[in-house]
Amino acid sequence: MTWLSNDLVERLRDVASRPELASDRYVILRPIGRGGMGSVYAARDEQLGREVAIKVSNAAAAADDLDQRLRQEARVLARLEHPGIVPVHDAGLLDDGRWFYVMKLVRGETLADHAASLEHEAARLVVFERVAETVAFAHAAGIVHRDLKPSNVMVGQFGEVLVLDWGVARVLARANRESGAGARGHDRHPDDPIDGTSGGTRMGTAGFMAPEQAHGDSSNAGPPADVYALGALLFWMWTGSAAPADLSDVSRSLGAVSPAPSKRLSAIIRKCLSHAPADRYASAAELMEDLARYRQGSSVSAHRETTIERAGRWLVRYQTFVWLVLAYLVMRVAFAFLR
Amino acid sequence: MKKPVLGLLLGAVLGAFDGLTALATPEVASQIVGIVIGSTLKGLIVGALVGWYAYRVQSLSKGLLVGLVVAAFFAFLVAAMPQPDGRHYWIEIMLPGSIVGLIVGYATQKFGQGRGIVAR
Amino acid sequence: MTSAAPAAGGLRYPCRVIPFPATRRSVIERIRGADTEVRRTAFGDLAAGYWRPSYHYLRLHWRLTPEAAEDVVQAFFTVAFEKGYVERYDPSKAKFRTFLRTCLDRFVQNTQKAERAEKRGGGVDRLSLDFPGAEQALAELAASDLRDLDRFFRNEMIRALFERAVDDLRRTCEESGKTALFRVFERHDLAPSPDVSYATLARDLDLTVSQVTNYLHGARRRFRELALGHLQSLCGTDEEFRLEARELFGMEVDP
Repeated sequence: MTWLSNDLVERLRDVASRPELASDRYVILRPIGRGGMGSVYAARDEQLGREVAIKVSNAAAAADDLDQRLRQEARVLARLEHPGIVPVHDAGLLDDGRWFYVMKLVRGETLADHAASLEHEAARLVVFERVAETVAFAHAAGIVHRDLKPSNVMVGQFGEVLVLDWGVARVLARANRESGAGARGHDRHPDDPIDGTSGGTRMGTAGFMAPEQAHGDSSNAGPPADVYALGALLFWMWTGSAAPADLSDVSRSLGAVSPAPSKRLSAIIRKCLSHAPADRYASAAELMEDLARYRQGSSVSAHRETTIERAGRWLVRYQTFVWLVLAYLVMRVAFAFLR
Repeated sequence: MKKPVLGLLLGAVLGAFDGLTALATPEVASQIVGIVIGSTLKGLIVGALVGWYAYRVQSLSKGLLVGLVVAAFFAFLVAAMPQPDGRHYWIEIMLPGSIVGLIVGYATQKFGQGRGIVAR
Repeated sequence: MTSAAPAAGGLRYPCRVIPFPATRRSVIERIRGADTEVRRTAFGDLAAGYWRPSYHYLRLHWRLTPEAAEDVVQAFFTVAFEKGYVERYDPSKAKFRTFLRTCLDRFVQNTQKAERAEKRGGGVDRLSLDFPGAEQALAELAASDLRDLDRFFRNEMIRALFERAVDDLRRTCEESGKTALFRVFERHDLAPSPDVSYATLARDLDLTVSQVTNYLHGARRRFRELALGHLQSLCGTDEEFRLEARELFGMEVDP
């Protein structure tokens, strides 16, 4: 009887698990990861001589629900050409008829692993704004991600930020996209891909999932659901934990970290994490606008300032000017006294 | 409001204010009208020049430097003129005048409508 | 395990879906069946799949001598068949391999000394097993982590299962004249070296690169089918088989 060492057992397990592609163009090299819907492998594109990533569904058979969702994901990604979204190069069928798609092989680490190196507010906001910008782009194209979380954000070797795993993304109906409503998807254009979810479906990840998703209403989750997830992401970047359901707990948790985020930034996070979608920012673009105002030192829509807070903010924002004027006045007073 | 205009107005106002502070110097207080007019004109010219530079070049550090140099130069010209008591008030004129130039340089870089060219 | 005819639309029958052949029911169903021959075959499959893990387990965990471990393995499977251990299995309590290992533990505890196995009645033959080969493998297993006995037993079961699948693949390839297919599989996957590539294999075996690719895919697919087939005969229930297949190959099977 053949004797197989531990290494050989593992190798056989690996090679027997690999998908079999119908063409010779791609050669599977190694597994990268496995999720609930599909598995990702590193592969070599023999035609172009480069490494790529191939995603196949874990479906038992072609035309299975999982398989259709993978096809949907490929089509969503193909529509979204943005630096923050992994480009799709190709799609095709496996030997057994199931779908696979080929995308850029991203080298880097997930935000879950990268966050420890983001020690300062400015560094965190830079990364976060790139995520928000990508999501805003998707919203403008009528697509809602629905599963934003740290493990679905990748920071590349050169600092590029990518949003991954659009497998449960929802394509908003064309009429709603054009009208700007974007929240409901009942009127689907015949050309739009099938959403793949039905009423009562719960999609997303606990702690980053909007309340309406958690209650099984994923099929109606619109851009505000992604705003919630972005707020949860921002909360996580400061506290290291998922956002609690209660907003008062959110405030308490943010106040307990050191250094705590400013009042205005905390207000932005709380607005994102509002229970009712109507109380949040309507889209990632709106969130980004408020964040830009925050970064410029201006007032934000999420927080109503007192006069003292406004004066303090003005002094901080124009501190150079204030120092110059003070220096001038001090000098004048000094000259007067020296006489 | 365009940056040159902003610089002009701000320079004039600060120049006038700067001139009025001469009231604290009894030796020259009697000539306050002339001092204020001269200081206002100086501020006007400095403000216009610095504002014009800010209009063409968007760079805070360069704007501050230009404001400082231009204002210091004109302040030098004023300080070089002997006062009625025969003294030259170099520090009392050049130092505050230079700071006014910095203020105008900062303000014209931060505010006002520019041409949109960013200096690297 | 063979693929069925192409389905409508030209797509081949999904190779990852294992059909439900009558001969590959779960071990429980087969052993509980009325047919004596089926019961005997089922027990043979059980013994073939679990004897090596049991032997290694007895040697490393119970620290039995090679002779004692050999006798216990022989006696255990004999007694298990006669006394109907397997029929008592309750899927709601544990996986089948965990149940079997527990039975083995109790058997050892109840047998003070495994001096020699008695040939009992009931028509069960003494198993012809390669104990020397199993003993030779112990050297690599000596450093195994025994803190998780269930995991150790499972790993040994997988190893034995793969070994049987490789042997079956070799035999079926030889019988059908497809020795080149097995040679490609052997060179690329069983004895890999850094300088082995499709091109070098094609040159060494007088094949085209395309043939190497096809043979390798075919061999891996056949190996997987054989392994899953053996796995199914070692699992207590269809659900257990589905979970094991998912954990082993990352695939969904349809028992």
